Amino acid sequence: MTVLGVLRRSGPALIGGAVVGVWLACALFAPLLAPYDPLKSYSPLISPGGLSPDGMRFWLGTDLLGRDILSRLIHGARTVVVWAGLATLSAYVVGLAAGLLAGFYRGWVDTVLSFVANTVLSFPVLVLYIVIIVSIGASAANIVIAVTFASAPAIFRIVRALTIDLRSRDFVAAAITQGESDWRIMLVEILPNASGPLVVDVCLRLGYTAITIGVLGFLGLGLPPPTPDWGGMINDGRAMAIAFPHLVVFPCIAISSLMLGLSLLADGLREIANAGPGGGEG
Amino acid sequence: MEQILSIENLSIALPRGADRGFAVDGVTLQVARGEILCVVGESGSGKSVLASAAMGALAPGLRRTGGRLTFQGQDVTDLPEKAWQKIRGNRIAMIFQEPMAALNPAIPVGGQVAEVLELHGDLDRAGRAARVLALLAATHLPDPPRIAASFPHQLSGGQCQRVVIAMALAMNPALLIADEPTTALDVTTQAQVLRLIGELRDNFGHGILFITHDFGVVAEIADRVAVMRHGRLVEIGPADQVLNRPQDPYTRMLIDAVPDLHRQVQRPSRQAEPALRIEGLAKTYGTLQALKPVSLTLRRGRTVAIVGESGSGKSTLAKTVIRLQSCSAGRVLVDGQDFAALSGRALARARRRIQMIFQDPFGSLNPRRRVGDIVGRAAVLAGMTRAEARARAAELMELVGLKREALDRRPGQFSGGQRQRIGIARALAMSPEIVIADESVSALDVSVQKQVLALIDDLQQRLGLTVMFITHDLRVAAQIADYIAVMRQGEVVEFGEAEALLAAPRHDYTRALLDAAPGRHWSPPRLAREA
Repeated sequence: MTVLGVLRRSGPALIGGAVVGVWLACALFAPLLAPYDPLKSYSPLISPGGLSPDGMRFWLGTDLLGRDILSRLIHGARTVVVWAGLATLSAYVVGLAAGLLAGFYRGWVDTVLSFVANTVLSFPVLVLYIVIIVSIGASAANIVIAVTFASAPAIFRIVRALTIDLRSRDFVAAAITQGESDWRIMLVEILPNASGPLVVDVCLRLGYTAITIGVLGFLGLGLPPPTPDWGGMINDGRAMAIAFPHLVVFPCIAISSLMLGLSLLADGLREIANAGPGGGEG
Repeated sequence: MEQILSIENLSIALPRGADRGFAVDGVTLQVARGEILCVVGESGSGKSVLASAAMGALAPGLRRTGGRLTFQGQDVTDLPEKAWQKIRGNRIAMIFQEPMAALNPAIPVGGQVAEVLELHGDLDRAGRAARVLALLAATHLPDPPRIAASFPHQLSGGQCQRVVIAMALAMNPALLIADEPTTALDVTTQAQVLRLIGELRDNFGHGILFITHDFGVVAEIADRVAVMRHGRLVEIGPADQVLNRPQDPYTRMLIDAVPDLHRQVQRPSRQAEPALRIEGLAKTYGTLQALKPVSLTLRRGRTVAIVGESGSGKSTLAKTVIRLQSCSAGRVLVDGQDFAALSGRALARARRRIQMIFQDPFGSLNPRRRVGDIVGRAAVLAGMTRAEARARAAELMELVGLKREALDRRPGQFSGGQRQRIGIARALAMSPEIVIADESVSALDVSVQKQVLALIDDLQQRLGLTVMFITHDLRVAAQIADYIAVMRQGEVVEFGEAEALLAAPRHDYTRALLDAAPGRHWSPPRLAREA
């Protein structure tokens, strides 16, 4: 089924897809869409829609250092999309591999991997992030490592459960009796049939990771300044939020809307997956 | 004779977009007091919808578009749901296919029978308890007080079905509707339940509407038979007439497809060298001995049927031989090589010699892959190049009676019988010497089953395959096997040439199995060709 076909069949997926699409476009075409340079200082603390002394209009206002909030949000989308995407991807590579191995072989492989996963999952996620980032330092690459470490166990558990189920199907038995190699059975016979629930999970997890990056930015553990970062923007504006709410309101809306969009998209995809079991047919 | 249920010209429309307009199309039939009317048909014939209409419980989306329904002289066609609730479980009762699913797992079964009495009757607590015990005794359950206090999971499938029947009998209904009540049961249990249902008719005079797909069951129990196809009633009449002198061409085709338990065909000489020797093969799970040491020889180009009830170890035997699971002891010799002892690349290479045809045509093909990839991949693994494999797949499609175009489609676009053909093509793609068929026709309708059995038989003759055919159905075994091995509790209790074993079984258990085979005294007349 094509992406468009999916969107047409579900209202929530359509709305969610549109919101996510807008942010994706922002990330892709940030330099073209942003009205100003996100790093350049114009005039501090202009209210939304206000004019600077030299007559430039700032639709969402400017921050403490006089930078255009709209431009920073648009460029910030790039940060979120790139790093949330990479971090989720990396977590998925680890979680998929471990989940397939544990679910396929069971036995001691499963015991060891499940033990590790459960141990990691027993820590509060936020504490885990802070410990990791504080100990290895705040940088984009380290955010990817932290997210992988914290998210992969959850992905592992989903993939493992799906694999255990699919492993018992007759088409897997048929592949075994043909002498097919184990890795090919995992990748060709099992993984494609697990993709339905995983696609839903990818959407949700992208949202969580976007929030995580925001939270880390807010805690000052995100990307080093002056990179535009939604969480960092909220943190920067926090002290003045009563007097100048636009400093925090717009970045908050940005994070919430992306999260909402991804959740709606996930809901829609789930709806469609449930409506047609074995979605690969036809 | 007093008519209990009368259905006149009943039509029930399917929702828009279904493959046909009507689930039930102008059906007229009556059920009289003290008679069993069997409604028989293949899947999708509308027989279950008819049953649900007869108890005023159509599934959502279905709609009655015409006809009348009369129950004990009362027109119930347009009865409101409230009034139906007073009739259902009280004067019309239902027996379901899956007894385990019909019972609440969290309540002792006695309580569940009592609930029916509480809902519809006016007995006090003590009266209900006494009646529950009487009902359980009437269905021949041993030690009724103990059974009444048991939860469903503590009872066997047959006992659960008896409890369901006791619930159905609670209010002494005029009409019993039984929808495939024995399909989920083993053959010996099925025989007991069928006998019980026959007794109910004789002793209490219930009218019974019995839905089934199994002509053996029909021959065993029916007074009259109604045959349905695509929602239409194609033939109705006394059992003897419909079973032995069917008039309608479809009925004739169906009956002709039923395998005969008493096979007359003599097979050519059976002397052949061994293709597969199983020696002392055993499998234990913890303390459970699923397979006690089994020894069996399969001769080249011959078919051995392994028959037995659930839990007899016949599937375990198949899976252990083909190395889907490891064995605890024993050898599996193919041309003197111990298949059970191989590992790694040697095992992968040897696997092509033994292939399997699976039971469930819907679960045995990866829904995401194209048929050409599924069949072609098997050929590649057997050592062909991609181009050769492609040609081989096309050749195999024709061999199993499908079109070449099938290669470009996915399994979802095929019917059950067609998928089973694809499964056979996949097994053959590796040019195996031995094929293990694990209940390969059990999920198929009888007419499709006949075609698939004929295909396996034909391929065996042409390719000289050695076949190990696992089945619970003695009729199928009689149809296809040169030899039969009877399994029980992980052991082969009897092994012999098919005709001899069926005609004169030596072991008590084989005899019990044969006695339990529904409709064993009925030989389907061979008549389709004349039609």
